[in-house]
Amino acid sequence: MYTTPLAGRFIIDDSNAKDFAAAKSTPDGMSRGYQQRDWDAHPLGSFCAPFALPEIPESEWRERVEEKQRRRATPKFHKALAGFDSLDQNGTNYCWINAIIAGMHYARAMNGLPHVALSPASVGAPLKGYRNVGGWGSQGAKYAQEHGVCPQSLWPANGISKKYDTAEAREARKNFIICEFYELKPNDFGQVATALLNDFTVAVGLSWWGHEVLETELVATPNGDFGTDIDNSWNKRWGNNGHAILNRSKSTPDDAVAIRLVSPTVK
Amino acid sequence: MTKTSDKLALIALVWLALSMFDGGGNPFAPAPIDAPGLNVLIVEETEARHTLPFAQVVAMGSVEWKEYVKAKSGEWRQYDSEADLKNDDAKWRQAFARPRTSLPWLVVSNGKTGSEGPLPANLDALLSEIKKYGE
Repeated sequence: MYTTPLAGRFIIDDSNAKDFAAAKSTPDGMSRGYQQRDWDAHPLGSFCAPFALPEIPESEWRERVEEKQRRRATPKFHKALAGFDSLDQNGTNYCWINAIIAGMHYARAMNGLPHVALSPASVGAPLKGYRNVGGWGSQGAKYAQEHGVCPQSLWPANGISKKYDTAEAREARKNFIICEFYELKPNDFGQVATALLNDFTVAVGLSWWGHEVLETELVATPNGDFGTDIDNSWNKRWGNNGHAILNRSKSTPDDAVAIRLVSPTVK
Repeated sequence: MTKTSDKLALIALVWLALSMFDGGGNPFAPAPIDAPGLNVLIVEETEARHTLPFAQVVAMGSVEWKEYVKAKSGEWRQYDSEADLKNDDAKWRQAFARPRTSLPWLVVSNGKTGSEGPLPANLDALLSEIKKYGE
């Protein structure tokens, strides 16, 4: 039976999740910031079309995971090809928009576009009235769709200040937008697996962690189950080069966004 | 024209016709991308990716052929058929605008010659098609 090689991998599962959920486990200088989505006020479909792909039967997951690993055919493999690092939210409460911007980086890499470092704060700050507060990914994805995202060359990754909202920045952000994304049903790991097996990364808000991260591939775990590889926003020094594996229960999201299309801009 | 030369011409025509329908595109066509070097474009319908044979999803999503193109100092793009390429280079806009008869669609060019046609059925066939123009 195929299982993802886990030796040396940073793993978060039911046995140790409590430790990670404790505030003291957040590395010095880092923060989280996932604000649980209010589903009564913002029901599924409030921000975009709900995920419409038919779910891939679980009986097919393992074979597909194995083949995608063997042929190096997941979004995660494109990170090294494009040569970008995990983001670093650096003490802000902007994990929820860092996960979305990371998803844009991956989508661009999968389009073959040169890497352009995009600024999470250029979305999070104006969306939240320039306050360092939490949120959830669907909010950020919708804002990135309507207003675009600034390159870090014009707006620092964690710059929560109106001074960066210049005419030049407003013009530049029009070139980096999310064209299409899906909202996934809460607590539905099958939708997450289907999105990942179709090469769409998924930004997931995880209530148990109070944190949002980007899921980059489905993995088969040794107990015959499945989990996901995540790209965190605590810089590349955390975990394995910024990544870790979450088991199924810890991967299963509250708010979740799969990015399907970004605008193809070269510079 | 002598009978021998007639026969040779006929053989050449048959060979040319067979070459055009080998499922790997037309190797005699002028370069479909008007730029030097190896350039590869895949156009797909991302919303319908789940309807493709899994081997084609793996082919498109693999970094194997992308690393090959990169090693040849080439470039590649993989775009949705509804993508707006106004901010990409002219060579990609031109290649993207070429007629297609199905999706996903592959365009390969080395600046002198190339091919275009339906995406091959799997990664090995895709790599093989790209390598024809990468040497």
